[in-house]
Amino acid sequence: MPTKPDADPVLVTRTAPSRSGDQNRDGSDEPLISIRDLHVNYALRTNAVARLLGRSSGTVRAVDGVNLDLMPGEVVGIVGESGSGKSTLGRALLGLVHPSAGSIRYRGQDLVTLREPQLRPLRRRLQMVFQDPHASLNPSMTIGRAISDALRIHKLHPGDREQAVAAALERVGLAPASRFMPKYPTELSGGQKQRAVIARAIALGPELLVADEPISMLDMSVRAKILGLLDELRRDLGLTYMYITHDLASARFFCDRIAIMYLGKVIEIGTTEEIFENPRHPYTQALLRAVPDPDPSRGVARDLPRGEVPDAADPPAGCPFHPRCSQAFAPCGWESRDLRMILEQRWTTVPSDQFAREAKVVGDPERFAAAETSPSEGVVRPASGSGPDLLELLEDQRAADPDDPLWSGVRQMRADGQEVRIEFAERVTPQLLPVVDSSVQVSCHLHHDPTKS
Amino acid sequence: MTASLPEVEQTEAQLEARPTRIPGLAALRATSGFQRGMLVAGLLIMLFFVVLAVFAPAIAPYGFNADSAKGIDFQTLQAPSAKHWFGTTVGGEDVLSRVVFGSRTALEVIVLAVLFSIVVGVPAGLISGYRGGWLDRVLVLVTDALFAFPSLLLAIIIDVVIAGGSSSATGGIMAAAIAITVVYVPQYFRVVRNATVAAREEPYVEAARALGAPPRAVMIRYIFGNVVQTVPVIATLNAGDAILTLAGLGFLGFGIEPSSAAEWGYDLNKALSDTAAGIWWTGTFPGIAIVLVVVGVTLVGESLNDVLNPLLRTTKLTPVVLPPREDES
Amino acid sequence: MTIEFEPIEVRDDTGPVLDVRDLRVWYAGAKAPVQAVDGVSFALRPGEVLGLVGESGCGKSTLGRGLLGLLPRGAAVDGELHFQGRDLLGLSTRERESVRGAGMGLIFQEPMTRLDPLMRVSAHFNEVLKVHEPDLSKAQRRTRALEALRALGIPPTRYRSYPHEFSGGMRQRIMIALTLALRPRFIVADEPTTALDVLVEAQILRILADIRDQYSPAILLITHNLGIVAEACDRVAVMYAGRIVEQGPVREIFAEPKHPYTQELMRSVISLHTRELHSIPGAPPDLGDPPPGCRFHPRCPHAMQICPTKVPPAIDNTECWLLDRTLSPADSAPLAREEVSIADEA
Repeated sequence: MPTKPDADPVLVTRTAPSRSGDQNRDGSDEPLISIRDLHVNYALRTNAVARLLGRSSGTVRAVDGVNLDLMPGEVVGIVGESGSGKSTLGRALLGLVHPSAGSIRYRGQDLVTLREPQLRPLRRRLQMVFQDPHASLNPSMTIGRAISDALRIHKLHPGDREQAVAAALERVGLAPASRFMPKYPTELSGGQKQRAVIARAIALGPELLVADEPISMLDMSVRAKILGLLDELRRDLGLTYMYITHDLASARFFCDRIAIMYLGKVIEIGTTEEIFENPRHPYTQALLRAVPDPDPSRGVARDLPRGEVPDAADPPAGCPFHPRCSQAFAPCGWESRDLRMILEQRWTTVPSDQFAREAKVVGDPERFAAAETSPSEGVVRPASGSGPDLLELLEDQRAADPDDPLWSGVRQMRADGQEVRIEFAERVTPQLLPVVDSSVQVSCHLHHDPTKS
Repeated sequence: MTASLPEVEQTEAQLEARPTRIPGLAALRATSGFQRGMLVAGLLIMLFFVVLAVFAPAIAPYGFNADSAKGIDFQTLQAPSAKHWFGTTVGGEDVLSRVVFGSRTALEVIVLAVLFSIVVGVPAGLISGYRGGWLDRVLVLVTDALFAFPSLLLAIIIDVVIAGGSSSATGGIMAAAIAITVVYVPQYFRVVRNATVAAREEPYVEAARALGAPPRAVMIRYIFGNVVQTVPVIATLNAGDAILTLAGLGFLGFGIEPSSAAEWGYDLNKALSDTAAGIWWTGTFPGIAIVLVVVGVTLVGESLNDVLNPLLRTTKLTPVVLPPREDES
Repeated sequence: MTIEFEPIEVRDDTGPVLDVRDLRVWYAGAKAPVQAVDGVSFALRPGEVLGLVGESGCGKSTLGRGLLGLLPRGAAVDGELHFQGRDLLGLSTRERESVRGAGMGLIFQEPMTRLDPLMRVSAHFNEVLKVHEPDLSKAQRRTRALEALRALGIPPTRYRSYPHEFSGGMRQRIMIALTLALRPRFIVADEPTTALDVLVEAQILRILADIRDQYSPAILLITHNLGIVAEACDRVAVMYAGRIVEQGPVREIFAEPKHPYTQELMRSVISLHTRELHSIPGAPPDLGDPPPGCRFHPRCPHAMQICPTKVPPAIDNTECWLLDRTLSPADSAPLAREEVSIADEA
């Protein structure tokens, strides 16, 4: 029977999770998916010679040691910006990219050790909904064929394939199915296409659905429909979700637990309520501040972290967020590269003749990146002038803005003839550790004393 | 971040014709103006020659080799007349008949060559593009090497290797067809391979993998359908070039024996010595035939390219006329 | 810790920078003309940010580009479009082009692809400034460019870099700087942050607010995100199916939306405070064949008998028959809507 949404536009109220903590509905506490120390590295081939010879000239650690459990029936949100590794994590879960290290246990099997032909039958149970509805359907296949092809691949419903396809279509709200089966993707709207993609996924009877930004390319009013559909399916079909998004608002509505990712690492994870009511990591706090809220009394967010997500091939030392963090302090991982950031910031505020003078002394600020002689010392030579000239410049900057978190990490700066030696505080990489009296784990020195690690 | 605006108003998409089973048919219907004219003209020319080729025995007044009819020898080197519309050759054969039968030869060879090229080049391109790796690198190198050869030279070499001087009819035609195939397979391979490499990165291919589709299914059902529209264009553009190569082979004395089939290039060769004597009809008519066929096929190929390539397509647009405003009160 | 943004009092200068009356932009469709913009009127004062909000297919992008004269082939425009007192629709293409750079600027949606990858940033600026302000010397051009970049937080050390050496957010800043270098009086920003991450988006919005403070251009911010409108705009115009159905100051409209579409749209937004999902049944109409009368009536929960018959006039800057107190009882009787079939669901 065709399912129609209610005539009343109110769709769905989020049902409270029927379990707490790690218990799941059937009482057992075995996770459906268990990810341990997952690493996905990409080799970079940035110059022509490297490309020709097939050699790599750098590695991007897209997923850098992630541990995660997915309980049956749970919705876990993976929230992050670009470069956070969230999409790669989702794809690694399904075997679409090959992990470099670590394990993904599903029903007792480690998916990482399986080869493609062994993984394929498992894909029935582990499905994906993609971000771009316009591109995830084969443009030369009708919707009906697309879904029946999925069934054919897994040899399901050999006798009554068409009925199974129709049932799937109607389940997602594309009813009457006969009207939609002969249509090509270009004839459907974005919301309808996304429904078709979901139909294709659920037709196989999956247990886990990885939804990679399923609504971010849809219109505002259509998002509610699709999100509501996903929620309905979760209840009716007992699905487990990994919901990957950068949109905190929908994550808050839809997810039971949320993991915040930054540069391949999970930096905070906990129940939805805890994350939103009491965000602990400065990055999480910044994300929450930055989400545009339809409330005119709020102005544009002002207290934002400076800079942008850094190059994943060469992440900052210590805590990867430290160059941007307004609450950073000594152990967070200060290095001479951060001085470059300070200088560039300075030069956007000084008059151009002063910039010209100072640029002569400093030379190319890129050189700061190569200035490390040891993990806690940087040695820089000025491009012209003497060591003391450069030192004077740095000290001038420090005097102009002494509260900049960088200076808390600089123990000493001295001129030594033609060089300037900068001694940094010892760097400690933060670990993901539980916060006392809560379900939250966070990776931040503000919450865990770095001296005891 | 890859997210972009949800459903940007697609002004061009509004103009996109409804997709049909035959890729491109809808696009063909939507052509207009100069492109359509080119397409129609080219198709008419091609059709004309196809008819000539298929019904050659019925159309040509005499056999291609006949130098006599009803026991009376034809006069050699006769200018065009009522009995011999295109005149006769130095051997007494009717030029018109030779031209008509020549089109049959051309059709046979080209059809065979295109068929072979597709059968070899397209799957190779698909597999190589999809799998990548060393197989891809090797095949690309090999085809690039073949590309580097001047096509006529390569055709001659292959022809000599295969036919080895044999003079049977099928031997000649097959040899020519295979020679032309080898010359042009790299094009099909390359185009299909590049289209496959591009399609491989598309989300719907990843989605197919996520469904659990094995590589063969992905290639055949997901990539092929979206890559195949490049093939007709290559085929038609190649056909023109292939006819020239065939004519070149014939001109140089390779390929087909004169007694087994008529061939325009061969006729041109024979007509060379005639021109000094002011005899124009033995060379001109086969020459015109070659030119016409190549032009026709190229017109079709170019307009197919324009039509099937959405960037070049000029769709029928009726300029908008704004109606007068209603009085809203 | 958030510093509140105080909206500045908009100086009522010599009159609106942009005055649009009854603008229509129709472009050629496969079967019938697409009525992308069908009778739109609004005005913009210097220093004002007007948020043009609507869903896909409502015509907002066409409107933004139509204001700048960037229209697809076969399109037709009529109505009145006054920029700083001059009627733009009467100008030739050439004249339009010169106005476009100098007086009006456009910030595109996808900064990744809008800069020429083979040209350094400095070359971009040189080109733009040479065309529109040919009297500037090379040194003056450089000063202008560095000034614009500095306003956007891009250090002068990066002046000679290539676009691919920047991230998406920085490229968008460069685009904005390019626009700014010409000191336009009016800027159309077409979904400037849609392709960017949350934090970068917030940074760009803050930059736009700073620009507005310093240089007072009038900004038309086209977006589908109501949150951005609430935080960054002074006034808002809600667009549906080619018409502006409601416009007014942001605080008023958000506190008390009058048009049913605005109400439904606000209810359907998923924000951090959402507890229930709402959506609007049906889908936006095909602009090639829009519904008669009020274009929202097939989806409107309060539709009346009069709604499909005539386009409602603007009452209180809202185009809705509900606000017309003079309707007869017959006209204001509720309209029986056919059950929205799923086939029409988005």
